[in-house]
Amino acid sequence: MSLRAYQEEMAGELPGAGLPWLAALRTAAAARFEATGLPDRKVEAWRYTSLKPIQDHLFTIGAGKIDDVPPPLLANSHRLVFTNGILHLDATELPQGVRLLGMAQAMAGAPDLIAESLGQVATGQKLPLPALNQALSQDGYVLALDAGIVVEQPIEILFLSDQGASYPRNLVLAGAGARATVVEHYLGTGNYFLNAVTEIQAAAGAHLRRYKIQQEANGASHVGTLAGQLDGDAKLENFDLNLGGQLVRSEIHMALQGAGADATLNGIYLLRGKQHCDNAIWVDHAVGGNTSHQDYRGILDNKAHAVFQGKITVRRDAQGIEGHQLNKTLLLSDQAEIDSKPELEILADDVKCSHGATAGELDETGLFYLRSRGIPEAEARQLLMTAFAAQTLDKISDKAVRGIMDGLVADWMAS
Amino acid sequence: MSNILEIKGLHAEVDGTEILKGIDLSIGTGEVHAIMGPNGSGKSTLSYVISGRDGYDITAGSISYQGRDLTELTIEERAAQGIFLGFQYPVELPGVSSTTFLKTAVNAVRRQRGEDELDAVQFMKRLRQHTASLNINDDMLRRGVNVGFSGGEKKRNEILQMALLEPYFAVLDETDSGLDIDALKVVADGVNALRGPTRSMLVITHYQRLLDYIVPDYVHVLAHGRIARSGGKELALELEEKGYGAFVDGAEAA
Repeated sequence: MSLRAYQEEMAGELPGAGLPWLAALRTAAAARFEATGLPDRKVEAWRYTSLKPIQDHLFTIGAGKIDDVPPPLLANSHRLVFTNGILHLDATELPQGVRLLGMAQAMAGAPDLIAESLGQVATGQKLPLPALNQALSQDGYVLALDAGIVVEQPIEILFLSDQGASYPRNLVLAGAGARATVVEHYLGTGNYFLNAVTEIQAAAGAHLRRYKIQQEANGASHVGTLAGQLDGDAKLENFDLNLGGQLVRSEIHMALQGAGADATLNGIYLLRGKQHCDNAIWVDHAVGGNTSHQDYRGILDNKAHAVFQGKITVRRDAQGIEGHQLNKTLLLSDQAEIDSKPELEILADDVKCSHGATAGELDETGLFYLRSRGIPEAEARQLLMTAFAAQTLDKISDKAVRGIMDGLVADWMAS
Repeated sequence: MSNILEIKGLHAEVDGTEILKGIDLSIGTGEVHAIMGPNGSGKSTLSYVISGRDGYDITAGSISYQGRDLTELTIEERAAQGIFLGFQYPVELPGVSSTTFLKTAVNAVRRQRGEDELDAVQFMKRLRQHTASLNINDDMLRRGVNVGFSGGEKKRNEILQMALLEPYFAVLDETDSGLDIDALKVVADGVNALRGPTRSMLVITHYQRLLDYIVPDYVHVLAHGRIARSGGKELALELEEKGYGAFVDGAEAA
């Protein structure tokens, strides 16, 4: 079935179907997707990841809700729960100046909140999966912060899945100087395909923290895209913890549009079995005087395959920027594989940029040192792996989230 | 006095190259022996063979420790049985805090010895008994193991580990390397404080200088993978005077 045919059939059932601007957005997105279809490995950005496994699952939308919902990760969080892509549990009372609601709710009841912004960041020909998401999405979360609002409690969004295909579409709009912490938690059982997009627009001086905890089911495929625009002095601290899924692609497209903006994009991937996880990051220093930092580390066992590809683009007028990119991978098995491709494209002449990638086994000398102090080999290995991951986890500024991530990493190492 | 370590006809190779070519060495309980030798004579190889490092393969001969075949034990079991190696180049472990490392090691050894693990308070109390005399400050304990430590700090940290693990047999591999005289004195004082009737040591060094501070009961000269000569502490002085030349040539001729 073609997307166009499917979409025409579905059109009347999608939320906000009566809104002309939304219908136009969906039609344009469908056309963008149709122009390329699912990218194959001849496309440079998809050279290391094949989407064949999801080909037949794209239109299996419409799985039912899941009643058994786990408790929140964080105490005192504002939480939304989506099951198979549809809002299931609503948020509790929110402070003045904060709106947190389902995308379908926003389309039906508050379209003005999103009309100017939806689909404006994750756009362009390079983004066929976000286009597919835009055409088919039925729900997701919308977080809108008025200027100057500081949300003390973390916002937790659970995406719980067990079958079919789902296309959560999320939108975070932070007014000038607003601050909030969002945890996106992806969890599931069984076989399913999830294609999620989060768009972030951070106005001048806004500080956002977005933590993604990806614990999809073993049999699941997950494609997640974060697309953000940061105005002057806006800061985004993003952390991707990738633990689950069989086929995972985690994309980030970050545009630094003002001086003083900072994007800190870190992540950990821990894979075993035949898991495949591709982290693909594009950072665009569009103007001068801003900074970006990337530190991605992974541990691969068995026949796991990870990809790290990231490109920092520094445009001609973007003088005085800093862009750093680091990728380190530990290989615990001969058959595990990492393809690491850090890239810099620098058109300005006064910049500080660095990139580096390493891959290797656990340090034999370190292991011997620990064992010579009486620490049994298994414990010594775990200590070194924990230390390796900790160097990136240390960059998580939220203590409660750090504690959760530490726990999940420790569980992975112990299992 | 019974011997804690008995090495007989020991041959060992690394990557197929024979480094140790027939070593005989007996070390009595409570004794301090020094092994001196030029670079490449096999000093470090001997220390790694005793501690069980992978890639150091015994091809002939035997090592018995406290009357049992040492080669049957893994690296960590040897440590638990009281063997300690002070590294020539202590390893940096970024991300592993020194305190966590020390506590994990102490408790791993206690567990293997069938003793109760120390809780945080008990451990800190034990740690404090040694940190002042070894001039180890809180900042060093908070940092990653050996990360950003000076040469002297690294060696003091080795002695701290030795003090906490309370070994019966310690091999100190070129503990003096990279130290100025003040740092050397602190380290030597730390080692001397740990001497006792139930603790034996094998002090490996290139220079006689260290043996002015850690005075050995016996001195052995290692050359070309064999012990070329053994004697009392005065042998170190003779070496200092004549150099290794005579011994090295002698070893080749033998």
